[in-house]
Amino acid sequence: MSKTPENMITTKNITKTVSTSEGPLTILQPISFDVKASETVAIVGASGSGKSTLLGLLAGLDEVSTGEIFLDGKGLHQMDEEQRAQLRGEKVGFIFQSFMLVQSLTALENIMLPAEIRGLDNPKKLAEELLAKVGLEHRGGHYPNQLSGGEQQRVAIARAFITQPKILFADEPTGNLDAANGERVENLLFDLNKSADTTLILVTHDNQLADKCERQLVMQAGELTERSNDAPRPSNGKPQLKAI
Amino acid sequence: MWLNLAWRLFRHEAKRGELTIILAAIVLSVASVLSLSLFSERLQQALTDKTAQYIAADRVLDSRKPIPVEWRDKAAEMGLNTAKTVYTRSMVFADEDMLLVDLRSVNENYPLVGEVKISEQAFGVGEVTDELPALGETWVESQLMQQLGLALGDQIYVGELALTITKVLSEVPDSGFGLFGSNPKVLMRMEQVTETEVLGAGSRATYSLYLTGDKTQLDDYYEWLEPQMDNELHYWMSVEDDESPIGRSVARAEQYFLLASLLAIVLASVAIAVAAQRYSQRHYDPVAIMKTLGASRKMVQQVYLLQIIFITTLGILIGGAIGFVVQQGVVSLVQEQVSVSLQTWYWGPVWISIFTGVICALLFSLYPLLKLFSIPPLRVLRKDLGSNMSSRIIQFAAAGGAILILMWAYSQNIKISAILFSSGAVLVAALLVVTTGLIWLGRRLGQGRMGAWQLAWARIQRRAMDNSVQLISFSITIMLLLVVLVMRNDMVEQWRDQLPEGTPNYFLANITETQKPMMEEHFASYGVEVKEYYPVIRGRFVAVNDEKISTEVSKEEEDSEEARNRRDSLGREANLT
Repeated sequence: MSKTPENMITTKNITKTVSTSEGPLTILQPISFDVKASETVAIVGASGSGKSTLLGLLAGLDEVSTGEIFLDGKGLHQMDEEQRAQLRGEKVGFIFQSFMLVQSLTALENIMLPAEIRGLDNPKKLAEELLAKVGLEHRGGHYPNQLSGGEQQRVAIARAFITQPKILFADEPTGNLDAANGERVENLLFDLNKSADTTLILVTHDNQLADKCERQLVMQAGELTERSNDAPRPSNGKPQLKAI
Repeated sequence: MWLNLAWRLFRHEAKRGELTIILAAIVLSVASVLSLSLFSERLQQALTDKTAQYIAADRVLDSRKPIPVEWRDKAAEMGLNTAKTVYTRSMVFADEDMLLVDLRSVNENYPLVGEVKISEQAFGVGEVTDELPALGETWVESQLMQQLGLALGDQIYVGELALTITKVLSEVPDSGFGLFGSNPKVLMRMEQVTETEVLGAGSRATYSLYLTGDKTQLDDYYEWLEPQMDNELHYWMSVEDDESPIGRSVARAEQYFLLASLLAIVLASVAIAVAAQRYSQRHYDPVAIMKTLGASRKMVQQVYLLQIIFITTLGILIGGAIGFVVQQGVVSLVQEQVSVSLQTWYWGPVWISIFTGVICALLFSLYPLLKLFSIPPLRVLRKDLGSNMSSRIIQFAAAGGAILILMWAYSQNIKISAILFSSGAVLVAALLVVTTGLIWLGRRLGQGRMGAWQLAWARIQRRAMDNSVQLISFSITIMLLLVVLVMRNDMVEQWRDQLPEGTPNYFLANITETQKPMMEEHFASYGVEVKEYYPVIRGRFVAVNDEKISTEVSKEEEDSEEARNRRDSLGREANLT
């Protein structure tokens, strides 16, 4: 394992343990893997397998119990929350299943938000361009509750790309959408990701969506394995897994 | 950036009605405090203005010896208006008759405050004049003309000086409060007082320097003057709000009203606390999103503190406007009965209401805000994550501190505030025990039964502390309301109980024998029966039960208010009836 810049993410034996009333509970067993720059990686697994916990750790939203995480060469495990927030603002974009738009800001203002936090010039112009790219230029002044689920997710995608992040984390981006909207959002996400040459880490239940990624990692009871793309799907029997 | 963001959030949320409760609570507290304190300030000012007329100035320096010229020059140099008088009692002569009079010699600036009224005939209706008697002339009161049989144009002798009576003196502003049998006043020019030769070594005269000006100028002058004053010779008189008994009553009434308005404040504060709690909870997600997108804790703090500042500012502006309109409405309703200052704006009440709004908004929203700031970014993935703040010490300290500060600001009395506050704290602690016990008991009683009862109690117990705090807040508010109502009735009742049955509301004094039939006729025409007249004569106690009364007092006695009152009533002339 190396932590050279060609690896956008490097993890070394990371674990996550939380304390409960019945004693400590290990959510993630020691995990090590790399993600190269511009790579698209899907993390799949059943509910409660630890996918979101891993995403939280990789994105610097949470702290590892043990181990090391490097994001674009920067050691997340050595940073405090303020430093991680700065790094997220500079290098990371997010898309969530529940969209996570600020309800009291309009669609345009939601897209502007990361650019404003980062202090970029002319955030409004950047946001308008992205709003047009996701096909919502006529809905900029609308509040999230005035938009459909698909439209809200398109706003969230535009927001994720406004700072041109090096890495994008998407947590079940189509989980709350119907098939038609889900497909539209998928296409938009992968098109923008390709044109921006962004590294994509995607957590999903959706095999079809996972298939669009170059690599697939499977979480099972806190353990991570890699699945080759030509391996059979879970619905057709046990996938062919390779421990990492 | 964060300024724009804060402003945008504020604008949108205000438009969507999400700030209504918190805003209404601030408006209520500011409006109630401003209307009450502005009204009482205007009442107070009207009293002060009126009182200033009784001493014909804002401040008066009385002296038993002539006041040094440099003292007056210094006052003029400091921008104060000055006037001088010399007051003494002397006999005036007209032909073979003579009478003891109050002789007032005044300079051209007299009076600085209030009006001199004169008439063309004895006992005529006085008219205001800006003039003073010319040299060689004098204005005298009707009583002197009646007793010595004088008319306008006649001459009287004041000591060695002959003066011609040119007007009848009806009123001077600083005529004092004596109701009975004072000597008639004679007004003359100060320039001629030496010609009278009535003043000499040992004369009982009062030399006065009248002063008007800004309070600061007057205070500065007094600061300069005080070290040079001799307590045996000089006496400084002012009409500061708190010095007259009526002024003190108004000040006390203001304190009562403000403490009563604490009721509205506590209610508003509870509303602010509840609204701020809801506001904070609604913003858990936005804060987690902002932090996830790279906002530092400091940035989040700035955005939300600015929001609170915007809400507070708007609340103060709206509350101020409403408070002003309300007090103006009250003034227009009562101005027929009560004298209220025409000046409509005073900064004191404005500051106290702004202070109230700021204290309520900041201290009652402090705890919810601190909780908000501590929301972790991971909440974007795990919605169950809330604030990691569990201690409520800050909440209790901030709310308690706010109430104590406001009590102190309103009552201006730390002792009363501390007593009220500490008894309130004991009450809160007791109520906390009771409410927690009730919640626990309710849960116990509900155990084993499924359904709405158990669900309701389970929900109440899950937020036992929040529910207890709200219950206590409303209990205390209702208690305060009852206390204020009881106190109000009690105060009026106590005051009434102090007066004997059938005590008249009005008195008339200085009625002469010749006026009695006219007066009775006048009152009879209005259906008022005049029952009794009481003769009044001035005299001095010389002995009680053969024991001679000493008018000398020791220094120790001088310090006791009781001793001073005793000396006042026994040593001086009294009105006997």
